[in-house]
Amino acid sequence: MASKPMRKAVGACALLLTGALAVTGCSSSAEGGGGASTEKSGTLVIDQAFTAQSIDPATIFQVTDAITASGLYQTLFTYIDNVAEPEPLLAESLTANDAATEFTITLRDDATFANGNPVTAADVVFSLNRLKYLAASPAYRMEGITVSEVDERTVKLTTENPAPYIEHTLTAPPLAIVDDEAVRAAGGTDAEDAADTDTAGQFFTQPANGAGSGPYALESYDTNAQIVLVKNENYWGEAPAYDRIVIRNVNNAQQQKANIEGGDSQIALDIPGRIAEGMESDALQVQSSSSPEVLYLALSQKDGAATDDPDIVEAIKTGIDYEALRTLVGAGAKEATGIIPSMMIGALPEGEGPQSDPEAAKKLLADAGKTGTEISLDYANDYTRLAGIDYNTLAQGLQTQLEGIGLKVTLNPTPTSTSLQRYVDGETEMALWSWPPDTADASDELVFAPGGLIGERVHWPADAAPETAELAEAARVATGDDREAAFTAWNESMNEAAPFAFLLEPSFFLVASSSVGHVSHDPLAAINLSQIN
Amino acid sequence: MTRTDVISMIAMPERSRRRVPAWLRTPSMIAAGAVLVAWLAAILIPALTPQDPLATVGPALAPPDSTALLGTDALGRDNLSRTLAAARTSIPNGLMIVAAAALIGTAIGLIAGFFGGWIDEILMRVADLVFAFPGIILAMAIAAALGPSVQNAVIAAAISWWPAYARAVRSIVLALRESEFVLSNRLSGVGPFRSIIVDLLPAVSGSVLVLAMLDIGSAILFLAGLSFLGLGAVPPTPEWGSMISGAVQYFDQWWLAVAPGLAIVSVVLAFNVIGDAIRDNLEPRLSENGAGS
Amino acid sequence: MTHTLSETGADVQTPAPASGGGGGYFRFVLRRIGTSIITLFGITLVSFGLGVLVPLRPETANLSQQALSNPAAVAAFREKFGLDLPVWEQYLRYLGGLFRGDLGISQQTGQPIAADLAKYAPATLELVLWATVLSVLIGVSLGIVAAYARNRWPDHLARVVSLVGVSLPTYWLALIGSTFFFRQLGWLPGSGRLDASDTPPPRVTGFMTIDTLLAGDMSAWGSAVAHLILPATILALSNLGMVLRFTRSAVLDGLNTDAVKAARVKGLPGRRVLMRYAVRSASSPIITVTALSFGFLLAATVYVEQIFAWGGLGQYAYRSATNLDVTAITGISVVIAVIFLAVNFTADLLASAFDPRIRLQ
Repeated sequence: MASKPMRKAVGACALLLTGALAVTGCSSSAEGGGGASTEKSGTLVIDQAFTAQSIDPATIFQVTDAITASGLYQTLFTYIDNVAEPEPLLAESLTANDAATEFTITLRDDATFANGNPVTAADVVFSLNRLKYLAASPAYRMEGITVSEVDERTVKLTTENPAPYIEHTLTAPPLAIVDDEAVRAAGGTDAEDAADTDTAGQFFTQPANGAGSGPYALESYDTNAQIVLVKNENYWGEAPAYDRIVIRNVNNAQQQKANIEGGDSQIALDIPGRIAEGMESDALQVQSSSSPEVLYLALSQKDGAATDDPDIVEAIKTGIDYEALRTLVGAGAKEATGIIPSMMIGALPEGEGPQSDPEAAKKLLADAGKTGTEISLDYANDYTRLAGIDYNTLAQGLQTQLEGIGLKVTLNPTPTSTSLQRYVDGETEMALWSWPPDTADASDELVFAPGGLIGERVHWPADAAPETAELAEAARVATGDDREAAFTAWNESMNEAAPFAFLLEPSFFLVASSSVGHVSHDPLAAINLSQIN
Repeated sequence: MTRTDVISMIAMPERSRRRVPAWLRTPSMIAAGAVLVAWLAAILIPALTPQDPLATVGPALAPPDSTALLGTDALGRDNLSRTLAAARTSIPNGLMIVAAAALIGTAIGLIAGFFGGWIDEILMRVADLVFAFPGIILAMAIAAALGPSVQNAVIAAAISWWPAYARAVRSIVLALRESEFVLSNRLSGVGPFRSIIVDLLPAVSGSVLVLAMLDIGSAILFLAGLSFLGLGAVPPTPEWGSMISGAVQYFDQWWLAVAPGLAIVSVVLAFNVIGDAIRDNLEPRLSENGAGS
Repeated sequence: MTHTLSETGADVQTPAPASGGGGGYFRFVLRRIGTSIITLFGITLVSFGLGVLVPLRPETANLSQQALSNPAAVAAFREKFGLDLPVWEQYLRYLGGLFRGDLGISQQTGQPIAADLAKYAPATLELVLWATVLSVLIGVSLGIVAAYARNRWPDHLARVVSLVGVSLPTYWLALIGSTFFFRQLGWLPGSGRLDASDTPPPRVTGFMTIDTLLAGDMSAWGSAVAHLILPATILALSNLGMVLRFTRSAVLDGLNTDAVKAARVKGLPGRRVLMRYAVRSASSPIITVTALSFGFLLAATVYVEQIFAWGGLGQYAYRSATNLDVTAITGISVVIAVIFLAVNFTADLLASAFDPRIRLQ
């Protein structure tokens, strides 16, 4: 490590133009080169393209914040590595009634917060109710759920509808348990008017606020540059692996690559497969994990939209060359077999997804006299979060393919905020999006059903496809062993009827220095800081 | 001094010479002229681009070879053809920015300078305001709010650029307003707007043209900059700034960043060389910033 | 980029000689403060005007997809940031807050904008300050040489440097510079302000190069300086041409003054004449150009920050613009304008102190 400042200083001296600065750079090596190396061990540097917004658990919905939260806070259940099977964390056990509407959770008795307070049922009730009543972005996760304290170590959850997937829900970062005393003291509340009266938001960005029970504590939180965590000295479990974790905002995949190759970082999260694959070496490990997100094309059924036409929908769905798109995106991506990604129950096996036949699509359009139909394609041109896929490239690839079958496609790239707004408002014709699920359970994909949240965005109400809507409802309420069959049936029906073209299931890649003993994506393609060692 | 004397002195100082003046025959001017003629050809004659700039012609990200002289991009399109075709977006729209800014600025400068008083005060305060507003931030905000497109980028840029022209024109008008030819025409019953159009506009147009010449390079850079930030040209239209922005993802494919970059530099440098020479030789008033005057 | 005109006909930056005497500094200061306040007021008006121009929906950038489809959540968000009110009422509220020094809350960070600005401004100021120092040092030296050797090869060389300097796209240069010096050669760091392995010093001034010194952490100081070199140099290059040309012509003007001619007649050697008279009389334009440079670089930093992940005002501005956060954009614009006006004001005072011919008005 000591060679690094030296190397930089040499560079500094060589740069003639920088006159004054270079001189200072040179002199630094003599004084700074020696002693610093010991304190630098034990720091883990993670490069990620930031989406950071807030570290108050009840408001978290961005990936960066989910990653940070995985070090600071703990949830009742958690995923271990890339397995879509919830394991107890702060909970010890969970029992459900047969209808899957009442759940009794026993807490483990040895967990404590960083400030020393024990984790109790009161903390759980406070945290979940605060999430519910703060009415921020992730509040919908508590919709239809009531929580109550049974005794100091037991809580009861009641749901309006059957929720056989409740453990999955309980793994989500917004459902993290925080110390009710500390948060209340900072102005937090779990009262029904919390949206107006809670003032604890700032408290969570303060260093060492002690409100979480995770193995790390906050040192600094900057949504533009970097987030720093330090070891929680009072951690109730096994001692954390690192003294310090720095999560840096590095937007550019090439920059991430250079950083990790130069030893400047130890984990890079946004290097796309095509680059990552060539990086495996003695010093670097490369992991890929299948994505919980399916990249899709939404075809609006709004009156007057060019895509509100069964022939056009059919032509687009069969006219896309999925194989070629997969090649365009590169390493690790799979052709989607439907809306349910392969990691979840109800996914269709490979090869049973939508089939491509551009010639037939071209003929279909020509026969119907619809060759030359003009369609606009909306996409977010600054969206790089999905496995580093460049939407600009993908959209232009789609444009070329669809023009090949006789459609005239105009691209409408805008920043995510504008693009998403148009989509939410149902104003797009064709839109390129992916759906980041909240849990690794197929129930999360039901938003695509007719009349569902995403279904509504393409003006596809339940009565437009009653059969698919019924299958969706059946899947929603199925419990136990019936779930798989119910979701498979719905999935197949979606492929038939839905105004969506399910394109790709990308792979998320992660590059880590071999000095990192163990690191893995979780099923939602984030990483869990507390599991790295 | 008659009116025509003044105008010709300001607008056409070299008129009397028949042959091409010496300052137009320097090596740098000839080189710059040749570069611009070459780009003009690229704009006007689409056949000069070896391949269709929008078509996939080979494997993605292929290095330069005989089919694609400057390699291909992520979609297998010919980088050379795209770089050449991008001139059709970048150069005319850069000119548009300058034309729009010059037009607005001249109009406002004429009115402010001619009428003076509270009209002048208000218009110039507005100009100061836009001037103090960080231009790129205003442009980013406008382009983001209107939605990215070349037209919106041009609008955004023109809105933040006109004050410079307004100021220059106003200061010339202030100097001319009390001059004999303007006053005599006014006394003989010429209305204010006619006076502006007939007397003052020709008098300032020479300076405005020279200033505009000097601005073209910066305008092309500015437009490409907005595209670089994703707030300008929309794919698949090739544009230098957005090509560079796309190249950020592909450090190893050096040709993707180098080609559009050199294209911008060559055009902007040529415009700047010419603008510089024109200023020094036609408008010495402007040339040395008036720092010591 | 820059308005080329700002280096030519600008009549505001260069203080013009006053017609009458009297009044002096006091009146000048009062007048300047007055116009500055009007300008700042106008800037807030223009920023907020965007909201009238286009109906802005910042909730999209700040809410989850689930929440966006929930009218209650959207309404709660809009209410929280006062977006449910008519634009004019939002504006009045904003002005009210402004008088109390409250710039509002950023929709993206959830933090007070004043706190965000205090966090990001020093990063940008440090970068811009170094870039200004570099470009003025080099530009002024080259400008003096060019004027002294007018129409000989150093002058031509200087002209080439200045023309190429203004013709290079900053973002491209940053990309190429980062590829070469960081990726290929590994000499300089490619992003951020400090190695991640260095502990950031306790925040005193917000300037890394100063705070690390105050903390006595020489390793971190070296790292901070190394991180500055590439972005500062690239920024400086973009501005070099303007400084060079400005200086050259100011010195040339100085060489033409009677004092210099007289000194020449007296037989003083050229170099001494240059340094004693010409450069001295050029000092006030040089101060002016320094101020201009600072203002120009403050804007150009957007691109450089984007490529070097600098984490300053430029990146904050870009994020605010694409997220349609009007309150933050207004705050950033006001702060940049304040810096810009303050720098110009100081420059004018200094210029008049150096050159008694200039009277303030």
